Amino acid sequence: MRFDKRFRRASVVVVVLSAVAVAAVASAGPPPDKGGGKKPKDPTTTTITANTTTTVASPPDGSYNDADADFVAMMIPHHFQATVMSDLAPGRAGDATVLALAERIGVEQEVEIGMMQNWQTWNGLEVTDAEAAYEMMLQMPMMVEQMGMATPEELDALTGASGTGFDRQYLQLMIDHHEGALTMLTDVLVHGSDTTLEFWATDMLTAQGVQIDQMEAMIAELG
Amino acid sequence: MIVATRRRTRRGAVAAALIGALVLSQVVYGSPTSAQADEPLPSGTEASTPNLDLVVNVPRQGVNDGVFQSDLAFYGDLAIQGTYGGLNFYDIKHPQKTTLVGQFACPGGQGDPSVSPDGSLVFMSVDAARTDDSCQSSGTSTANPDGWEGIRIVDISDPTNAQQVATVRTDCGSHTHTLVPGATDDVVYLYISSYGPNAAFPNCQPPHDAISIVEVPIDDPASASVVNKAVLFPDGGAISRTAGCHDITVYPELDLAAGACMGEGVLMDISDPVAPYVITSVTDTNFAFWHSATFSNDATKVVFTDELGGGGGATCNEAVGPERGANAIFTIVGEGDDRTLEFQSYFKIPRHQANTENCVAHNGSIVPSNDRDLMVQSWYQGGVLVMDFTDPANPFEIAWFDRGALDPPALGGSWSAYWYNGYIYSSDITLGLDVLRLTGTEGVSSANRVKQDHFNAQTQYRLKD
Repeated sequence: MRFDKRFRRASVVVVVLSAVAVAAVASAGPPPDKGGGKKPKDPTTTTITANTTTTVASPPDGSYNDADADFVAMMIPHHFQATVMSDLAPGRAGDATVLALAERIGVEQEVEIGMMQNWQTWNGLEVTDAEAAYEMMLQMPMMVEQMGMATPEELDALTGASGTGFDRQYLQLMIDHHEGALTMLTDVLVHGSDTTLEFWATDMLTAQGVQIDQMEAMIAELG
Repeated sequence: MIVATRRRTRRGAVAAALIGALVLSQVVYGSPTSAQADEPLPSGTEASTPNLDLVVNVPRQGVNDGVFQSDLAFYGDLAIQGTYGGLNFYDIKHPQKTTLVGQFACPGGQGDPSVSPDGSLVFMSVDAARTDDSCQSSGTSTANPDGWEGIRIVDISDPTNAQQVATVRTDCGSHTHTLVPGATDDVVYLYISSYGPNAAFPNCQPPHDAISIVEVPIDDPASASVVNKAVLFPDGGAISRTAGCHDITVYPELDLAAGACMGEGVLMDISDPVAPYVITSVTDTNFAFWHSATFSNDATKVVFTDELGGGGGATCNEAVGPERGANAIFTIVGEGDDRTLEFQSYFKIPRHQANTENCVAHNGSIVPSNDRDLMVQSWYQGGVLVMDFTDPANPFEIAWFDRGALDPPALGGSWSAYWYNGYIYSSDITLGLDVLRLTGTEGVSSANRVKQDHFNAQTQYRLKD
């Protein structure tokens, strides 16, 4: 993948995505009927201009930095695409194992969206609206490619597929998606400073690495 | 460290103060019925089943105020609490009067502690890169080749003046570790669980299919060293990208260990403590992050946990459901190296939590009843829960203690909840130490008669009254 730290520093992108942040204060969690970060029913959209991450004069050991904040703002919409793709599996997937994995990935990424949104709340940052940021991201082909995300055309093809055809497309797209995530995760582990976020990133790195292997094995079995 | 109150909003602060004043003494007693399963507790309230009482809370304070409190170990009348900033020591001679008696400032991530059987040493896991191995170090990048992670060895002979006496660097740091007794009392081994190898991390290179085994001479801790890097998955394990283990629990009397490793749960033979090997392993499509393992008191069953969302996610709700972020209960079937793990059921906290509450299966221990399989367990902001898994196919909840969501929202809740000499001790991430008492429950009287001289959750013995 070509995603690297230059991309993380693309502060223009982050500012653009910040514009779709939800002005959540005390209730940043996802809506009560969802475990993860599907778009709240009636989000209040605000325009964010100032960087709200640098108000602490002398950050305590283990607190977050800009790399952490940028990572979370980008990873939320990245995760959202995984939930979109996984939501397509019921009724389309041909293989029960693929369906089970898709359900697990969908739930996991949705939970993690909520977790990252909570992290933003805990740190007094603006909360990223997952769906709005994702829609915006889809309009940026270079970013889609750098982050290993599926293009709108690939999503259309996936939506129209079924059976083994769906399974193969889903697995390949999700492998690419996860590979993009691994690059982002490695980057925040190198450049970030928030102890809690680093643990989560290590867990995501591990879980998604495991899933890539599982998906490669599934593709091999599909023949 | 991020702190709950650091960026509390103005409106939130006023509201919290008002609500706090109104509900400070409100205790809602409930019973574990399904009627209330989908209604999270309001912020500022606490509730429990009538058979589980909060005896006392000792708030977070001193040098470890403002950092997360994590895992627990016990020696005699001393409770040892790990924190992201060091250690806390509590006198629990009279549990209802539990008192903080000493602190040790030495940051390095979660600080998972264990105590030597003679109570002289505490071992502390460091899984966040430091500029050096001293307690004065600061955080550094995982990419720093000179960064240090591993095990701290701390002399706690005088808990009011704990001193680091040695350190051992280990590959990928030490997320958790497990104390394994040696053949004689003067040596212990530490199984180091660490994970997340990556080509970009100089001190955590792939492949990382091993656990480091540290040998510690109790009378000469300065000579502690890694004596083996035991490759658990010579064939790459159930999946090709094995990446270490998160946590291992040993049962020395049976030379057995259960490991929550990346992508799989494993059963190991540890008859040679420096050369453990995997007997069998299991995978589960509902599990992606195998977190920890707890044996039943007689080691015929294993409870594995799935820390879906890494402990920061809100998984205790209808959307995630009862089979993810849950316990998975297995029985051990067969003999010797032919033993297998047979799946029996999932168990998850049945009471839904608010979506700002991080909640998932976490650390627990056996309640040593003579005739029931009971386990007390932390579910972060889901609180403390006691599960009956006597019938491994039909586990159920028999007691719980819970608080409403932190306000303002923050990472919090119970990190570890363990049974020790008749009481349940729960390390709360932001609220310090809770001491709880389980009463009026069949089988608890026999558990209350069990006395231990020390306790490490990952080193299990058959407990009898």
